[in-house]
Amino acid sequence: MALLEIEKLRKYFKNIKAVDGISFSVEQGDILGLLGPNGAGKSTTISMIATLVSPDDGTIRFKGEDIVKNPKAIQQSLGLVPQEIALYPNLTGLENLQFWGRAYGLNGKELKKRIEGVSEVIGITERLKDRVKKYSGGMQRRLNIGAALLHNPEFIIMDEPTVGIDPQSRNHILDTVKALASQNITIIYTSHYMEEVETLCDRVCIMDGGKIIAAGTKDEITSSLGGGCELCLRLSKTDAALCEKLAALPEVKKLSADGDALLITAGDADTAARAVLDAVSKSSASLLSFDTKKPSLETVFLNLTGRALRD
Amino acid sequence: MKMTDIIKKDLRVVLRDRVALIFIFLMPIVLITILSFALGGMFDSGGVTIDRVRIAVVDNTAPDETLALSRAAGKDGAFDAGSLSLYAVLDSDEVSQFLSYTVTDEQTARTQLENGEIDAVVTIPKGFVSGMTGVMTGAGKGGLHIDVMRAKDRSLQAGIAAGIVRAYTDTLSDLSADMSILLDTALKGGIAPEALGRLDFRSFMEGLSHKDSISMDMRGIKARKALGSFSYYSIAITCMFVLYAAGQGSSFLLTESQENTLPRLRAAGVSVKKLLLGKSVAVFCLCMIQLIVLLGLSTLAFGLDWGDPLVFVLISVCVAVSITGLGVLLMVLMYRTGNPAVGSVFQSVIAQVFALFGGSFLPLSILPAFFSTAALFTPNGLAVMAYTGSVSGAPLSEILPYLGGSVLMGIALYFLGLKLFPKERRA
Repeated sequence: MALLEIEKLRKYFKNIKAVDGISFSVEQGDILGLLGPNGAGKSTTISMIATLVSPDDGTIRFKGEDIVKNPKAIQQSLGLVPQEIALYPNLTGLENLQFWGRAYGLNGKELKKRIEGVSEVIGITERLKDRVKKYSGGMQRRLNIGAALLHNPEFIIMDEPTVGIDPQSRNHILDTVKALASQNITIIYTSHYMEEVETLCDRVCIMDGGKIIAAGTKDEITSSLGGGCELCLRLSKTDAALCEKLAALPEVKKLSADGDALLITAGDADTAARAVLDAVSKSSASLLSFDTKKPSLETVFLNLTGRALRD
Repeated sequence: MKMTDIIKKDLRVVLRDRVALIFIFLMPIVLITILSFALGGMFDSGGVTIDRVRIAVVDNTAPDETLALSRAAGKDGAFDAGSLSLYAVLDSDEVSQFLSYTVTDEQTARTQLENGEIDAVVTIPKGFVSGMTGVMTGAGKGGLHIDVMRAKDRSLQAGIAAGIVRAYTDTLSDLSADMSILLDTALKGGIAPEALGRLDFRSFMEGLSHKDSISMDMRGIKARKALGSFSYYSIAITCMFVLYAAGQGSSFLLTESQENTLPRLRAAGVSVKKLLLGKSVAVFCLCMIQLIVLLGLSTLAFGLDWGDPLVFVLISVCVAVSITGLGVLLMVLMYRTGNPAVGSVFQSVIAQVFALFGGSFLPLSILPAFFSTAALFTPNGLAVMAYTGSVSGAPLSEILPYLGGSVLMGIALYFLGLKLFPKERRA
């Protein structure tokens, strides 16, 4: 039995279909990546799993228990890392952790021990006695995560935990997530950063317009494109006529130009590469470099919706 | 999560907010000092300086009534019935210091009252002295009534005149009761009624009234301590600034929402109603801290005496209840509308109006009578009345109505807040 099972989940806000009949499941110890542009329905889905919003229809089962009817079945097992910093800026890091630990029923020595452990994991031990408003953005993000780990949750939801922070803090957070995954903790991870999801997640659900448009492992999803690929070319010069000619090739699904660099999203890699190189050789431009890449989740999304994830 | 965790957290957050601290503690201290010095002239040697009380006495008693009283009171008129008359009180050294009177007819008195020449008209009805005769003999059981007509715009002076008359009639009533008991006891003891007629009434009256029953009551009126400017403004400004505690507390719930901690708390299983309850207690505690700190500091700085500590604590608790009710209503309104301006409007407009009508800027005693009535509908007004009553030595029975009003107001506002609280989106 999956740890979390979602069936035909639906939530409308007036006439807007925020979540439109989605179904998926998460196994114990999995990291599920939830991808999608703004307005795709990720946050509403997460809010329903976190028992903050009641669904209009469908079921959410945690360990087989319907959490719509019995929210307490998930509340003490769930660690929620909201997208926004959800801390008290006028309290110290320690006071914040104490407060959130108590919110989950921790007290006394147990709380103290957990705070010591968590602050070490998130790397803020030295700054625990400073007020949170004096922390850098990255430290606040780390504390935001720490507050969700105090009660040793077996299931964690992380909603864009690396938004707007420096690379060092970002790497720290990603390492933390990997460490949590190694402890068999189940995680739902949402992010705009494709590479984060590709690196961390075992399985991915891509959402758009309130629906899941692709789901599975990364390989399963990319192979669904039929061996799609990305071609990166650097030419001595580019002109409008060449770009039009390349874009018109049947193998080419999308072409974008950045100066003399061209990025082509195509179907079958071999066929597309031959056709593109042939077209370039017949033009007045010289080929400076050429590279093929496996399709990314971004490419998949582009192929499925015709839009970039961050549009 | 325990409610104490929510309370402790909210208090910590407020007490670390410099702006809030300035509003709650520093500004009142500064204002108390400034107003006490600036308006100290209105208070004389510890008491409020008031204009001399001027009254007109309309005496409708017939001349032969006084003679009859003398006859009834003692053998050959040996007892001076005049010593029990209202004039004896008005002419006494103590009263004549601040009150002057003229005896005139009803029409003239009314005209003088309408023209603002006098503060009250005291009318002694026909038969009043005969009523006193009844008092002396124990035969009369009817009440002794003297009418007082007050000038509305001179409420303090008119109130003093009415108070003196009330003390006078109360004394006569007490005397009547004592006399009834004595006669009843004498008759039951077998003393013939005719023997009573031979009583030396003068000695009896002196013994009964401990020589000077009327002046005794007048000393009772004077026994209240007068408030100095520091005492008054310590109370008045503190009671005004506890309103800011309500304003401060009103943001507790909306801030949770704006700082994104509310969803996190709800996800942890903490209900919004539990939060609201915790925050209500936090407002109560904040208010108590503010009252104790401000009134405590004024005691240390100005050497003020707050009277019975238990009464002081009781008043403070009742005031905190009313402020909590107000704070909860504001908290709900702010949460419901999602608009922090609710708190700002309260602090910058409504609190000022409350302060004006509640006597925080100027003593109610020097304001028109309307203000005293309006003050009863403001939490700070009730608080000022209760504290000033206690400090001036009023018995608890006189303060209780203000305390009851405070508690009732607090409860009513609290439940109004709960009624307006939006239903949670999830069951």
